[in-house]
Amino acid sequence: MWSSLLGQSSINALTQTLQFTEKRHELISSNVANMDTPNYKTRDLDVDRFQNSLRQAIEEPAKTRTRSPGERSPGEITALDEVSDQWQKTRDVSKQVLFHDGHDISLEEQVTEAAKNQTMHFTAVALLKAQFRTMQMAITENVNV
Amino acid sequence: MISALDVSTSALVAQRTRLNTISSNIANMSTLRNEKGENKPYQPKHVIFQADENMIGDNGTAGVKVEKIETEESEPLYRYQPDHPLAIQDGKWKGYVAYPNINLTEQMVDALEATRAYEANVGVMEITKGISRQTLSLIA
Repeated sequence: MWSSLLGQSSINALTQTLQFTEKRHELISSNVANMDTPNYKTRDLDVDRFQNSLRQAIEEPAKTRTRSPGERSPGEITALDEVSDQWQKTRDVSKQVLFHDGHDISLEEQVTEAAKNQTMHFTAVALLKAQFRTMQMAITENVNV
Repeated sequence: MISALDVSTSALVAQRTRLNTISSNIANMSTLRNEKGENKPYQPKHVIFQADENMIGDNGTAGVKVEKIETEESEPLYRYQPDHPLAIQDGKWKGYVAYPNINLTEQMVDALEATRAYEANVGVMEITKGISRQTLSLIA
């Protein structure tokens, strides 16, 4: 019952998003922390890549409806694992100004990315909360949860 | 998530070290003797940062650490003050006094940069706190 209840909804996809934004935030923090470190290169996770593999992971099982119960549901998405080890390759150094001491960090860009990432995180949390509220409504048979 | 706070903290510590070094450079602008009491002008110091890859793990997150504090080996600034008690008695610089070669403008710009970097990291810490609070609000 639980796997169908939790697996069919977007809860697991949202959880993946939360994990992704947390990972990404850690990388952005280390970029800002290493603002004055010689030879440090900006690191990032690719948002588009993550969302693409998330979409694939959601769509694929939906297409092959023949899967037996308990098999990989949209919830058990491994999108994050595929992306999280790619952190070094996502950035083209030549796009940035390379300073004399060999680093390429643009503070403005990093702060913007942090804000974007935060918004993504907040959105996912808000959606998760809405999901839980709906569930709560069904359980308590009370609309005013 | 909490590790992001540790990363920012490491940067705060590093930037503070840098600011301390700058303070000591400016404070010793006119220091003519070294800590042993010899007639050697103070030499400016520079903090070298290094990315600390092992702070959190191997997931690409890196903190900062102060790799070393280097002492600049620059020529002192010679000023002609023949009546000064520490004036050089003989040789090419007879009658001159050796002062530390500290560029105040350079030091002030560096101090400003360190302050801004410190502020930027405090800003990131606020974002980290916001994200954590939001995540925790799921259970509350």
